[in-house]
Amino acid sequence: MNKNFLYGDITVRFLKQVQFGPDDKVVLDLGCGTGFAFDELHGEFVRRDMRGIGVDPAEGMLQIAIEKYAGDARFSFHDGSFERIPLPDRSVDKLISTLALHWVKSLDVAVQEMRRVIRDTGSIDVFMIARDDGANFKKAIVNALKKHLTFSQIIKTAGLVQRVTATELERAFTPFRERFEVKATQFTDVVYGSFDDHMKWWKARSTPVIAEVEDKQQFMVDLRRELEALDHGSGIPFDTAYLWLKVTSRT
Amino acid sequence: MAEKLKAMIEEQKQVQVPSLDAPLDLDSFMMMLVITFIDTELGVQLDLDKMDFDVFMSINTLLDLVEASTAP
Repeated sequence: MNKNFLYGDITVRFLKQVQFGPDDKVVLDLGCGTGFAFDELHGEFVRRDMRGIGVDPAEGMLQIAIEKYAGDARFSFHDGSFERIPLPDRSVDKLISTLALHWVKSLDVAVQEMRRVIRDTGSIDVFMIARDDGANFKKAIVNALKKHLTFSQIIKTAGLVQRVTATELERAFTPFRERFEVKATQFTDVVYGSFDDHMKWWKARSTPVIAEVEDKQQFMVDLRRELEALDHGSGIPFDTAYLWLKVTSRT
Repeated sequence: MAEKLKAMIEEQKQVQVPSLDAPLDLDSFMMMLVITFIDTELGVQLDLDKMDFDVFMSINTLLDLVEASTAP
């Protein structure tokens, strides 16, 4: 992932709390983007003599990561995804992921792939967006969209990301239960910002939705009106909801 | 059918729906889950192009839609 207005600080807090054990030598970052997690944890990698492997399907972001770490043999980056991890069975000690798991097409396939590559003594820390993320903010967006798109067009965009609760996430990780403890915890927070602050991340995330709108200029006027109606003096609130999944070996 | 639909919405939203006419206040993701549920559990395929947000007002408005969609 890349540090962003909405989740940047929260992600850094998550990464600082990830714990590494003495046997953690190979660390996989799934959905590594431009290598942000390795940037934040670089000191820890050197101190513990760990090797970092980044995997991401986005060619552009992967290229930035590759160039950034070109002189550092400790880190390598590869094309792949949650559903297609380009690593051998049982080859990873620690799997981390920030703001990526909710983009998978099939959570079940992703879980099977993670189980395939993680050692029986390994562990997983995943940070992902929860189902209730931005509930009020999204209501305002749908109100603006109603003036520009049909019901059918709006409803199809709702299925673009995985939206799960902590219980549903734990259930999805059932294949791990034989040898691992699985615990998902939901956290909430409110991030305030101006219309322009929010548009920076929302536009990047919502390209397929915006592409459907014919009169984009009027849509932005309507969207501004709906979102600014949520501002009661502190800025436009975004009610974040995110999950921290910890999978730890019983052995 | 009404009870199945009510139970599904209550489980997903983690709130009680007091009656079949009570407002549901569903977001677009929940609407998508309801459409999928009606398809997979009740065997009725709804035509998204003929639907609007109003049909998600209550369990009864949803049942009306299902009935209309299965009418010969």
